[in-house]
Amino acid sequence: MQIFKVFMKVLKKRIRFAMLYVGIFLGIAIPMSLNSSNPGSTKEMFVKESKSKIGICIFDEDNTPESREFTSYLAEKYTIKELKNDDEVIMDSLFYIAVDRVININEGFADRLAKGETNGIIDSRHMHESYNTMLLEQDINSYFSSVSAFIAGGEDALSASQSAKEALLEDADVNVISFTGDENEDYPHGFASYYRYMAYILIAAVVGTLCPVLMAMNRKELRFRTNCSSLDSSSYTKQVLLGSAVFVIGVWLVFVIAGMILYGGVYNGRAWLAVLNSFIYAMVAGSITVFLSTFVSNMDIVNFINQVISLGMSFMCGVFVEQELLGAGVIAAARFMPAFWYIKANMMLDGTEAFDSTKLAQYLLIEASFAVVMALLTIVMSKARYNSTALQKKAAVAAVKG
Amino acid sequence: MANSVVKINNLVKRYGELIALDHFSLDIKEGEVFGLLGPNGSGKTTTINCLLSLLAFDKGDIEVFGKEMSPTAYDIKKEIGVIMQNVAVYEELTVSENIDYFCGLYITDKEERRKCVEDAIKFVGLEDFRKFYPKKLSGGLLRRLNIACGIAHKPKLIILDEPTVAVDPQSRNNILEGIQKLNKQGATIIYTSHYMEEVEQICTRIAIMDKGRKIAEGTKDELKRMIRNTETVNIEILDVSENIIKEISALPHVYDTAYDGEKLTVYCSGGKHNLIRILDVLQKHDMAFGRVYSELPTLNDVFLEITGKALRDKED
Amino acid sequence: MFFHDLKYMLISGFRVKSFLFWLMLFPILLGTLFKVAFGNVYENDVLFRSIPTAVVETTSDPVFHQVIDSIEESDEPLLDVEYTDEENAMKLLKEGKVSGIIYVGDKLSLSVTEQKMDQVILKTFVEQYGVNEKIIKETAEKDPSKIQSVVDKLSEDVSACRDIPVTHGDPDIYVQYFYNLIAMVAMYGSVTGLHITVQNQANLSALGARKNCSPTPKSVSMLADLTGSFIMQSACMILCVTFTHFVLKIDFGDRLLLVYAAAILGGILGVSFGFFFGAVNRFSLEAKIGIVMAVSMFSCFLSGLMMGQMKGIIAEHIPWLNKINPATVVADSMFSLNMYSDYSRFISRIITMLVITVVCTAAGIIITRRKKYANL
Repeated sequence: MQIFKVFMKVLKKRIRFAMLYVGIFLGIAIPMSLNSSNPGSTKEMFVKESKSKIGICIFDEDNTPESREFTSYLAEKYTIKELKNDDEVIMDSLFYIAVDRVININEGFADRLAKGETNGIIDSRHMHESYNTMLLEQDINSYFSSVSAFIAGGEDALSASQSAKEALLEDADVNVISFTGDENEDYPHGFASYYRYMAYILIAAVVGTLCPVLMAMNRKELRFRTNCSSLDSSSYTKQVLLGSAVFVIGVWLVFVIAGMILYGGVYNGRAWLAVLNSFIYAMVAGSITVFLSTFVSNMDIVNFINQVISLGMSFMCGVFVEQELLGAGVIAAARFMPAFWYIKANMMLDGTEAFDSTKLAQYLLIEASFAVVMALLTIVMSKARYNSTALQKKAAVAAVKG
Repeated sequence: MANSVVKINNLVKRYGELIALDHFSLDIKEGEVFGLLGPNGSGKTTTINCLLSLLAFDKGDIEVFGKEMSPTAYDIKKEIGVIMQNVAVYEELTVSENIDYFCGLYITDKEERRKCVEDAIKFVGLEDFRKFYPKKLSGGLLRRLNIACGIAHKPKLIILDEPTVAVDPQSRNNILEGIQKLNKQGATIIYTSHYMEEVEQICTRIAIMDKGRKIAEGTKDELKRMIRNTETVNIEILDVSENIIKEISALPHVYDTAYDGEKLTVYCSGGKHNLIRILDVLQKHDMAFGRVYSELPTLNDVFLEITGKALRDKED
Repeated sequence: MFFHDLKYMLISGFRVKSFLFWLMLFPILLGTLFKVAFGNVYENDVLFRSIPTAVVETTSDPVFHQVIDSIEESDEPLLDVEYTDEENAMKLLKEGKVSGIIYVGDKLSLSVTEQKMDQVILKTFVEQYGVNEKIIKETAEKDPSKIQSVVDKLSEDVSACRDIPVTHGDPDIYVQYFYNLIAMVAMYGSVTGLHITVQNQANLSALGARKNCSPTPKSVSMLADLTGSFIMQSACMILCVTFTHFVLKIDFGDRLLLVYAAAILGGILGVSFGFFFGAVNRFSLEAKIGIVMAVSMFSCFLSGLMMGQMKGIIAEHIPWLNKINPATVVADSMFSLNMYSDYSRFISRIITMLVITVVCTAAGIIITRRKKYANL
């Protein structure tokens, strides 16, 4: 177990750096998931589930009872946001969909309303041609349509506005049938996003902290010395894998415990399954790292490869952009990546997909198999690249010249 | 009387509680090959770093070429060439590019520099390796490159800090010869090492350091005269009796003997015929013996006597 | 001496194959992945499409039919209706082929499975229908003579919003990811900047010690190295922008040259940031690289690289952070070229970048100017 001990020693030397790195990623993970404690999804940005999430900003320059009536109608259904009447602020808010439309009620609104001149009666600014903006437009149009109808029926502008408001605020008869999974109270959507982002965080943190340790151990001089010993090459690799596993578990625990703080206590029920899911994924991340370290020797490159793998895989497998939004070709390719199955399992746990324990077990097994495959590949690669003959070839080139 | 090239006066350098240099003084004259000898951790490299104004020190003053040394004394720095213990070259530049680069930090005239680079390459014998990258060079060649980078600008003072660590014998000889050549060409050399054979071979004057202090200084012979021992006689012999050893011990100029069952070692101080007298005693008792050889004292002996420990650790 | 140093900095810099290769390759890889992953998400998702709906008529209602017909005739029909029976409708709903089922009876009612946008719109439609019915009924009770004018009014197409155009650029929110990708490449230039400090400090490398012994002043040497790094990083940025725009066909607006300028300045900012970071601590080179990259990632995260809406959230709660976070400033400068017709915001971002660069470079030089070290 000498190799294992050495591994731990090499790790100890770098522990401060590892902690800092993990800390930074924790700093990324927490705001990510806090923000999505309104159910996190990119789609949410554009498609708000309930009307009250649609935001409007209203500048009322008419200030008549009629205009106030209109404003109060909108306030009942949507969220009114106050913005500075500054072009840049408005642009930003529209772009980031803090508000979906900015409405200007111009002077003379009440008069025009009384006359039934509803076309272009208010000024509106919006940026995206989204569902939200369409819905708003539709609603505003129906408001004015109803008001003019009431006026045509004999009412004055103000009472017509009030009647219209009353009529429009009546809720329709809506029946919600559930075919898919319910949100589970042990593992709510909002919290589930923390584990969703783990698909990115875990792998980036593990590769970034474990790879340098492994690279240090793979330095030619050290490997030569090891190879001279009576230690079998695959035993060496196995011990390294063991050491890596221990370290990865440590890192994983940090994130699990941080998750508990977000959860508000010890996990319950389904949340434990999510923890299991993340454990398997952490092992996959570790095995990928070990595999990487067999052919990377430069610290600069490690970070680039790390970002390509972690970010690239995350985008393609539905970590930052929902799986349902990704194209068919992307999904097909993503099936070959562990993050894809991790996310599928997570979606099943949080109720986005109907819960099926056999399927869940399948996903977890597929995930775990990535770890096994990577470990095997590592053993093979390690033998090929680091046996003394291979190292000798590299050294011989230099020696000959001397 | 030759000029002083380097004058170090009462240098004190502390690292917290540890005193690395303890009122250390040196006076190196022009044209010398000055050796700074001492075990690992004695303060050789610290002295060099202070001399080069890389390291701040607590007390004392340093003069080079008669002027006070400081980090911005660029006119002084122009005349100094440095070869550090660690190889300091660019991995991404070839041999000739490396030499050209470092020479260019000193010599700005293109034509002059070109000549200097060419001379440097020839001097260290790297003509066949001009386009090689450092990665492809063996340890010895790499050291040669390191040296070339330090002397290309033909400095008047050359400082080498343990330049032959982990170098093959051929390259080592090459380096030592080169240093002597440079000295003949007019450079003053400061050479630090813990290999006494090298120091003995090329240095004109030597200072021995230990624990930040100078414990002895002088030419080779002056140093050896400082100690008692002038000759050590070794005889391979079996079964020598106590009486015979006593008799040998009583011989004039013999001050100590040692016998380990296979070899008899006799330490003599002074005298010219010690060997004959010892052999006479053995022949008188009809003792058969194997090889006999006589050794002159080494600097290691000097160090040993003065400090009570060896210059080099066992593993060397 | 300056040019001598600069020349060799460039030669050795462009030969650091591994690093340069990756700095140039990695945005190409990631950019391609982004493009593939997003594809046409914006058009597919954000933009409006007609809502597929099933209609089950328990009683016949010709008025309803009329309304549906007129809806389907318009340019952008709100609904895409299929009349069918209950069983088939349920099947379609379960398979997700329709977003909801409208039951036509005494009143309209709606069945849905989720509560997303489509369903909300359907709900609105059903409600509107109910409202219109109500208005007509009330008018009939109060003043039947007015019914016709009421009906006329209700059938009129109302277009109450006068749209004021907000931007001339392309509001595709996914382009943001590419701006952030460019910002990330710029931030990764910090590793080059890091190497400069290490190479010039006697207490950080043997090379630094040798250089410090030479008569070339440290500041000259460092400025030359910095200049060389700036040039190299700019090359990377140019490549990155070119690839993203011409190969991946991402639209950066119509002021491409300024986009290049912003990207190049961003790269220079990254290098100077790394230079400053390398000067200010004594970690090993390996640790320095890891940390500076993690910090760069964090900066990119705050700029919205992973979660697009991050920048918006910060804009809402900690707006000043967006103005100094390097990645945000770089990405924002390019964004403002696209979205705003005037240059004021762009210029303010450029000035911020210049200030950060100058401050970092100056601070780095001042810190490393220290001539002697307490220990080596």
